Amino acid sequence: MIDSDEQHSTRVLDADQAVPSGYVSLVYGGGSRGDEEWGDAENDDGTCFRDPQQMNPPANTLTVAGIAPRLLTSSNPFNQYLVGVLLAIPYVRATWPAESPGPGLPDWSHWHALRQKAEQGTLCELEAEQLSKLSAWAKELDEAARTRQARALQPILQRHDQVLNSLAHIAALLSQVIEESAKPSSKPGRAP
Amino acid sequence: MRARPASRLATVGQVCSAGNQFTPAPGLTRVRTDGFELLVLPDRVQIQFPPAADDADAYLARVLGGIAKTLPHTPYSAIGLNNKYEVRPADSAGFAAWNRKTFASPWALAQTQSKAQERFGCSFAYDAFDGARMRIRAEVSAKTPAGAGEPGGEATLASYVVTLNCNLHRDLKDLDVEPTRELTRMLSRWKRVREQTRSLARSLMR
Repeated sequence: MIDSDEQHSTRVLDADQAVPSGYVSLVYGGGSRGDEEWGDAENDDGTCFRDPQQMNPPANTLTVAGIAPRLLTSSNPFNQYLVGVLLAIPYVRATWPAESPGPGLPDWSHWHALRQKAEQGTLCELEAEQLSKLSAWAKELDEAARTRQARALQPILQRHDQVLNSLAHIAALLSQVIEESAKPSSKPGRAP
Repeated sequence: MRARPASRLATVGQVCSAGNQFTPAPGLTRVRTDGFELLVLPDRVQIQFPPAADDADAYLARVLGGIAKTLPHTPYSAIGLNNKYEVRPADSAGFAAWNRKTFASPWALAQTQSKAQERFGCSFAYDAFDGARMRIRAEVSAKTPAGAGEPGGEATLASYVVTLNCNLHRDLKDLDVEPTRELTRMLSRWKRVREQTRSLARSLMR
């Protein structure tokens, strides 16, 4: 039997603690409509969704589908940095260069203070020794960072070179075409 | 019958853990941070928040908004703002009557026999937030607690859960829509959408 007591029916559920589980879907390409809940592939009026062929982005453009999975799973520090920028995540990982502030690293403000004192000629012997050690360390870290950066940038620079070469090739072809078209035509009956 | 104290009820935070929402799929990439979880699938990017997240709108603007601005050539086709509520009966004895009164349509009633074991759901949709479509689906499901059915175990009736799925869908393929701008506008509505759906969930109590 159905319990029809009004008092009962108004107090059945407790929604005060109903904190929702929230998520946002951003759909691209010819994928589904982002309608997680109903899962239909048609609009309300029965029309189908846009032809996936029409949804192709222009060639040579960067898209989420094109780069995100590769970037997110990459172990390349530069890619990881890009992910950090893209997702606005404060980037702190074990693979990040050791010169980031952390335990066991020198207080660089002390180094700057010592350099200033050296410029003013007020450096004592002990401070001079400290400055020398810190400067050597700074140089070492700087070189290491440069090497790392160069290694990370290498594939990007290679791609960049390829693009530049392609552009140079296209430019050469264009100038050749322009040169050809500027020459007087040798065919009879054709306007000069 | 009295409503039981809230402290004795399971909250959605306990019922839904963020990690349970996803099904592993080929090509899935997942990034977890303290504030959100980002999922990249071949056809979508999805960001999910812990149930109690208050600053989700800031993450949305920074992460999804940032992605949309950084990669404007992506053919964005739709955005869905989803909120899922799970509410458990405070009083299992009155559940059948409440469920019938709230969700049963004349058509459904014509198919059933007015018995306490019958359960009803509901779905409806309406236009909202300037061009978007809000779709609501309420479902009753039985979640059998551990020990139910055993001697001394919890009564089966107490395990009913009403799941309220609220999906605000915005089609970005309309010709008059500039996807990146519209995406940003929709993302900025997150808090208002959440409030509206929460109010819908609470209206079940009235």
